[in-house]
Amino acid sequence: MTLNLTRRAAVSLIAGGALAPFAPARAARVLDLHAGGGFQPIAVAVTNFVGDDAARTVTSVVNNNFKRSVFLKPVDASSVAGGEIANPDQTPNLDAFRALNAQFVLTGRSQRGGDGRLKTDFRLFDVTTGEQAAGSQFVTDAANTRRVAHLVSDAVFTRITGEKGFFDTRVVFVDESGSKDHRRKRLAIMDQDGANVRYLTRGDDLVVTPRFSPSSQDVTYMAMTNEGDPKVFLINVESGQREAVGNFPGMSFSPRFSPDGQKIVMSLSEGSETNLYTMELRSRTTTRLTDTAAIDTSPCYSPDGSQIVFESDRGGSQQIYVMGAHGGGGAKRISFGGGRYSTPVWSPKGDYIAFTKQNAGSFGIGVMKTDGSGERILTEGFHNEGPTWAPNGLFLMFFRDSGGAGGPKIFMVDVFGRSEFPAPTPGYASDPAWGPLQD
Amino acid sequence: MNFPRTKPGFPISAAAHAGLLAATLIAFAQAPKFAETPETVPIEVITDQQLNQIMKGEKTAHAVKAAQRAEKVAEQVETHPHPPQAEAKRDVPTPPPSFKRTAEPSDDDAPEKPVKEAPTPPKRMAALTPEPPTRPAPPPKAVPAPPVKPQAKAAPDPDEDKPDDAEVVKPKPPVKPKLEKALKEPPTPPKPSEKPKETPRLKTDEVAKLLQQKKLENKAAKADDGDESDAEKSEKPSKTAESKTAKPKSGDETAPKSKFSAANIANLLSHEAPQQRASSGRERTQLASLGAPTATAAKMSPSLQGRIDSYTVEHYRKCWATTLSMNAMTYVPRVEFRLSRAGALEGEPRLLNPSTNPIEKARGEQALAAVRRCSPMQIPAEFTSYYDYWRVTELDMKEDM
Repeated sequence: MTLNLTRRAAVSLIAGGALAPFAPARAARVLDLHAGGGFQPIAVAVTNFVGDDAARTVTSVVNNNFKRSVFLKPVDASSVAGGEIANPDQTPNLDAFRALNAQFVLTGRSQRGGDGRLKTDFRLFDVTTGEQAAGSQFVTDAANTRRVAHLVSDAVFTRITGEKGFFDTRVVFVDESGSKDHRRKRLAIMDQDGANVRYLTRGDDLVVTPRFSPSSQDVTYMAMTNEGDPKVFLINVESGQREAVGNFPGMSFSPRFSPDGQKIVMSLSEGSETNLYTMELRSRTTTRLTDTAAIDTSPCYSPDGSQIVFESDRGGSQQIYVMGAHGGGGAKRISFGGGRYSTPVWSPKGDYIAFTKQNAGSFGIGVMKTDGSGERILTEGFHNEGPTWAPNGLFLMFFRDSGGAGGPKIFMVDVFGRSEFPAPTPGYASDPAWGPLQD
Repeated sequence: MNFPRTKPGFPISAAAHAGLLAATLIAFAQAPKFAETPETVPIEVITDQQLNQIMKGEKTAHAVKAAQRAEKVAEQVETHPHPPQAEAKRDVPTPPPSFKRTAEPSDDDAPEKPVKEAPTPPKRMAALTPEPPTRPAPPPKAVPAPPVKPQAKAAPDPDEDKPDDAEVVKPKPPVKPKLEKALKEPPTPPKPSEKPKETPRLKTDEVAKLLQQKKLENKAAKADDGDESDAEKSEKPSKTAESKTAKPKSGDETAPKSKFSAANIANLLSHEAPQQRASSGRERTQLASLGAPTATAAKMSPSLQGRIDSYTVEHYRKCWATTLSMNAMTYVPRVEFRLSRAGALEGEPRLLNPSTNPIEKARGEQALAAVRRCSPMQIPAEFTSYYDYWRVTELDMKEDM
């Protein structure tokens, strides 16, 4: 019996037993954990900033920013001591915030000092570790309360997501007023959340396609003057000074800055041809980039300045092409879906190109990779047009004209197509151009 | 075609070629087939020492304390995992659990059916899992055992098929062993007659008293039982403690058993005389073989490992959401963390592959925060004995499939 058992046991144990001596004694087990659900924005509890009315403005601007950030979600902190924090420098009662499912808590103070300047500081606490994750202080003119709130929002956004922020930016657009037949179009500028609207032109000329310089407070746009052909203009948003970019015999449109802000690329019409040209702003030297019988327009530089994406009908229909920034041929088509592609814009991150796609009466704003693959439509409807990228490459603004008696309005969409927010402009608005983070 | 006789080259060559070709074809057609390769069977070669080690278990393992009864000593029926009948000796209806559960040889072989009465069986089973290798049958039984337990007393039949109670017994490790002794009687399934005996159950306070005594005895007597006794003692003395299934390990058991028996018997005799739970001589030995539950994970069954793993993954998945990323996120944060026995986080989780890229860094932080948020983790009873396996975990935190 003993023998039997041994043999039997041995047989059954052979594999296991032999392995037993080799099994690691206390090795950690390694498990694959696949994400359990769809994307969840990270919850941040925004407590009331301590201070005077500036503090209240900062709190509400930050809250509003987070609501439109897609990555973050503001949690109402008023259930915890009314949202008031006695001492914003100390770690708050994290248990209470944990119960709200907040992952971070933002505290801060903002008040005017004796010299009239506004001093603002904030602290971001991580609820799971109980430690401070970020904190900073800003001093600025009292008139810049909203800008400080945007800076706080950007700092928190960057700390939590690792991405660059986009709150402290401005958007240039064409403000439209009046009846449809007598539309008055003025160049306007506003904060990305719709505040601080300012008009840059009087409305005598019809202005279209404004574009922000990536490096300076300059905007280039096209204006249809009553006298002659449309011309490209350069305007400084701070001073309001404006000048014509050049005298060109033909029409010129779709001007855009190069990443270093030193050149403008645009399309010029000569007879039946429309080709791309660049112009050095300082020397006013122009260089011709394309030379085809087709219409090449809507050029846009890549963020490293080495390539240009543009729209051309050289293949028979409007499609998107990419070529070297020095032109000279070798343009490669990258759009291949059904329909017509136009207004391509290169993401500041360099990874995607946004465009307008028209297909069977429907207009969509979409993105594709720089080689044309991975095409995704983010929003569709009647007459969505003219995408422009936020400086962090995560959001787009575009305008939508639903037709009828109304007028166009500007909307903001995230590049994942998850959410769409209207941009609150005073009236009808079109042709948005998103500027860089202000320094 | 005319082939001039003076130039016979071509026809001769053609004929030769044709002949060669024909010969070749015929030869190949007749070639013997290759012998069929015999099916390969994986063989592991182990040495004598390894086998002994396996059978014997670890000296330092927390051996299951065999329920031991003085009477049983006489009847060592060891190495018979099966014949429950052998143990029918329960002469004393004893409840007192004070019997030490040392690896009594006598109890060894008799797979106690005590499991039946043990209310807690499910746990036990988990604890004893290491043993399964020796008893192929038992493990399956263990499962049915618990449900049967309640009726065990009533129906002897269920007991009968529990020769493998061994597994059932497994669960018993904690306290039960002591109680088992008393309960042993009842459990002996094979004997319907025994049933009546099973009825006497210890009162709780008696049991407690006995346990206390047992504790002392056990401590003294069983040096090697080590933790087991503590564990047993700590368990609530429940009357229904299941008997440990003595897994009869032939041969090997004897050695350790004898070591115990001398001391145990002496202890038992000195204390317990009146209350023997005469279990039928089957000793509930916790076969200390194969090591205790705290031995390495290799002793766990793969299905149990799988259950623990998927339980863990499902738990932490609640706090881990996919990221928003236009490019497929290739960075997979690997988080290492340790848990206490109760499932609480011990120390801080650690990111094993941090990155300097700001977006990946933020993702790594989210991974750590996810582990913190989802801690502590409730540990189901059946996993508690396998603490060593799930104590340290590394999670590869990936996107959606």
